[in-house]
Amino acid sequence: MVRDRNESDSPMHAPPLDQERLGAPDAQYDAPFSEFYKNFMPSLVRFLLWNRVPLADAAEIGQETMAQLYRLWPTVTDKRAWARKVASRRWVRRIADDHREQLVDSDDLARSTLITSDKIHDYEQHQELLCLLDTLPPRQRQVLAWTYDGYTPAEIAQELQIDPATVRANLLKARRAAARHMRGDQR
Amino acid sequence: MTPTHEPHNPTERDDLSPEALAEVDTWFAQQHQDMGVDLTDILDLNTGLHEILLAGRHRDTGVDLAGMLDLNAGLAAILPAATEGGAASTPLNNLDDLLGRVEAAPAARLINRDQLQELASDIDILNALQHAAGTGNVRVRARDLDRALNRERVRTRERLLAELRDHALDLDRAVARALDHDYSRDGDLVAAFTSARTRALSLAEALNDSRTLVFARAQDMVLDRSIALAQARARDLALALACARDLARDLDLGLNDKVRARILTLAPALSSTMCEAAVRSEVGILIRMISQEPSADTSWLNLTIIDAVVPGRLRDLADDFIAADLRRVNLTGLDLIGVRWSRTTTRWPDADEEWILAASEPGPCGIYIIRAAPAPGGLMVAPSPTPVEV
Repeated sequence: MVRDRNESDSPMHAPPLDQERLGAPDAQYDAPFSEFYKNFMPSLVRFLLWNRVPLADAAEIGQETMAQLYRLWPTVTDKRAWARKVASRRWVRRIADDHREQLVDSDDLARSTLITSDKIHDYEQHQELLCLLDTLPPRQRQVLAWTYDGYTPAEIAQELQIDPATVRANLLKARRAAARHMRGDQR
Repeated sequence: MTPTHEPHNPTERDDLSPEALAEVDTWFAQQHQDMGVDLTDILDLNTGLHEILLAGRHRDTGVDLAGMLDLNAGLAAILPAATEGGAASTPLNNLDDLLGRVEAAPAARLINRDQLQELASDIDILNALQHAAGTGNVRVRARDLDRALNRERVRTRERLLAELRDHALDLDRAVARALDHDYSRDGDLVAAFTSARTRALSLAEALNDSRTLVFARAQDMVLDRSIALAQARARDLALALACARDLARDLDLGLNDKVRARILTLAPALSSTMCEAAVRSEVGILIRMISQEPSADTSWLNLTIIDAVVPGRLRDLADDFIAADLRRVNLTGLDLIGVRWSRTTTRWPDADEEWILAASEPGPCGIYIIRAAPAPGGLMVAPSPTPVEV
């Protein structure tokens, strides 16, 4: 398991709302943001996919989250954890919207300008994983996504503000379900 | 990754061995890694990155434009003339802002053209004095002053005429006193006085030429105002000359070369002080003109760093009424000579359009310049050739 995390373990500070209205940060931040974007954007989309967000929505939400992070770049300390939490919240808000709920059923890939259609078959090779994740409750998917992005149960508990024991229990249940799925047991 | 909690369902315990869980972990980790690689291929990261950076810079461009555009001038050009001075509620704190507001108030500009021209002249003179003080060269100072005064000699007419005559007389007396007391050895002092006297008299002579025009417009209220201003200035000058007389009296008492050197030092400083007071006073008048308030705060005005382009801009403000709405201005008694206007974009009071057109010379691009300013109704014949409409 590759630990997909920022080196900094400093706590994430929620930036003041007013800073979102400040526009782009100083141009000196463009280079570090660009590097971060290229390295982390696929991980963020993957994180959302593991939460069973359709690919087009994952790309859109990832892009929106990165745009927000760019505006707040100097003020966010743990950028990866921040991006995961903000992206998750964006998805929750999106599925809570009645209009969006209808779109969620169809993964219209053309909605995102980021997705290059000629490589889409690579993504489709993960149908088995996605089918397995579909069978899991949202909380187990959430814990799995954080776990395989390199977070420990204690860290996940801190980020999601839940009990570490709950994290471990959900993780175990997810692994058991996965093992049964791999054996073809649909119980 | 080792589970720390036992499953609650006893049947699940039998299903899973540690090897099975390890296999699940391995499979998940592999899927996780493969999906990351695939997504790198699927996602057009360059497009996404440019989208974010461009959006940020686009937002910044909006902020920059707000600083680059003269929004006050733009707004003033759109709003009707009735709102002139409406933006003056914000306190003024720089000359550029003041000029912007003056520019946006064409009616006030037209009524107070002489004030703008006087301020331009005084700033020119002040700049020349400050320049001379910087170089310490009396001849340079005299030359710069001469140039500055020459530029304005036609406009200041009667006001400067009276003032210069008084000045010449006092200078005459000063020169006579210097000669009487055998201070001719001080060649610089006498030469400076003589040169100034000659210049003053030549200016007075030149200004005499324009007196005919001034007297022809004796009913013009501007004359009264100019005379009043000239009198006020003459009083200021008299005060300065009284100081000079005191110094001359000191000379009479037989003081030495050090005193003469002191006089030469004090003279430009005295001139600068007077000129600074005049500029500050005139800027205060402009502020009152725009704000319609009885008092004006000019404490922010830094007279040591007035931009050299300000006098030119003031003269433009006094003359340029292209695209100005002047329908509400009572033109009676106003000095309009030199006003530039457009037949298509300048709006005069209906009753005055005909005689203004008759008193104007056509220029390029539909622009007219008022060359003679007879009383309303005096000339009713359109000038020839008729300019091409734009």
